[in-house]
Amino acid sequence: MGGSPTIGSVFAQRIVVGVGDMAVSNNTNMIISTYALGSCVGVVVYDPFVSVGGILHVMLPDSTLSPDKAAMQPSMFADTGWRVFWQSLVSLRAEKRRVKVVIAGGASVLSQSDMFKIGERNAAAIKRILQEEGIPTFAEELGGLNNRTLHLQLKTGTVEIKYPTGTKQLELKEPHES
Amino acid sequence: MNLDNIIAQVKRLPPNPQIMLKLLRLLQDINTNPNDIVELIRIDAPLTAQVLRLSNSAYYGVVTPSFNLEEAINRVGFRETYKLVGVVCSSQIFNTPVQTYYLENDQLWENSIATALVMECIAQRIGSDPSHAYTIGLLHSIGKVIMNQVMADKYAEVYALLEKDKLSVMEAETQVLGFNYSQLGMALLKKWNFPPEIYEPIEYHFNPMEAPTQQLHACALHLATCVVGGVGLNYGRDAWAIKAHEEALQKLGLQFEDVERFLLQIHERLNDIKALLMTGKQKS
Repeated sequence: MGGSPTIGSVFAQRIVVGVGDMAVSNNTNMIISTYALGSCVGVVVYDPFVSVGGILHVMLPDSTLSPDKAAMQPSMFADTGWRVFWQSLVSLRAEKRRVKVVIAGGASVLSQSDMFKIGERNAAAIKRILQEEGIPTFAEELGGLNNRTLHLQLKTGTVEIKYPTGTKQLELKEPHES
Repeated sequence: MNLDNIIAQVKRLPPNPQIMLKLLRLLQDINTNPNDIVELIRIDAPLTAQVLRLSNSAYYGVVTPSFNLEEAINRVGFRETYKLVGVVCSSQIFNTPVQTYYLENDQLWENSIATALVMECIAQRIGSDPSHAYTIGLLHSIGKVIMNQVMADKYAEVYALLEKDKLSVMEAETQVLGFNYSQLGMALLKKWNFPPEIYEPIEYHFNPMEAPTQQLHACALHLATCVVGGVGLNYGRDAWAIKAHEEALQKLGLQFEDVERFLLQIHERLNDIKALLMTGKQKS
């Protein structure tokens, strides 16, 4: 679960966020990573002014599916996940007007079938929440046939999005903010 | 192209999991004597050692480890023993990089174990045989290991077509190579004398409604591949190049919401067995 990093993770210099989990930090030595986003959606939030950031790894769009599970592991669902994620960021002095947000993942099967549209539904749920919050996205890397891995470097605000065939890099901190 | 000829060309076939086939037969037979199972595993000394290790793992809440196979098997139960043997066999087959599909080290193994667990969940839900379902899930990607050896040089063309025309991996492989990895897997398992209950769902897992006799488990495997992707364990460049057939869900008597529930269930089970898999991984 999220909240401030533990002593162990400070020494490890890297927090790995599992499926249905989240992490936030203001330790600029830290890299926060999440692996193999398939139909899951990863939400990266970064406040360049205070170098605070985090990753939320959402597996399902809506907590009404299992309120019990949501109580135990809120980050599993887009709605409850966003709430705990945002509260944790705010507790580290992130501010809405400054944050930059990247969303990635939400891969889907090829057909038009409704059987497995969880990727699209996860992406739609997160976008709706961000819109309600009035937070624009800095970049969106959604859909497609591949899994993605995300790394966020808190010091530089660099986000790496890794695909099986290559890496895309985004800078969430302007040079004058360093 | 004749699939048997292709398999005959393979220089290093994956290790034959005959022990699973034999154990599966014993599990299905109500007259099986528990000693038969112990004797069958005991013949294979490395397997015995690994089953002992795994049965003593934290997953089973073991306080006092057991060094006696009979005792260990009695403690975890026969069905669970079968799954442990599956963990060992599959790690020998799949714990290897499969470059053709952009799979690193143990990614195909993790995917196989997760698929086996989802298959077991679905079987429990629809009331079919969970050990058969587990085996189907565990071995469903064995064709990839063969494809990696015989067709690696032609595979760039498969990806080009797959990405250009938005084809499923099955369609792209069939167009470029004349066959696909699920058919290769079927041919190999058939050669190894696995029954149609196992190889047919694997052959038809991309087009389950066409399965002649094993439609239910073909549909289950079709759904399982999607669910496993949903917890992030479909790796490789073709991870989501699947065309989902909604009829499969109807055939299983399931609703869309059930798919999401399977995701939650499998996420929990995978967390539970992490300790077990780490024990399996250290050895392999």
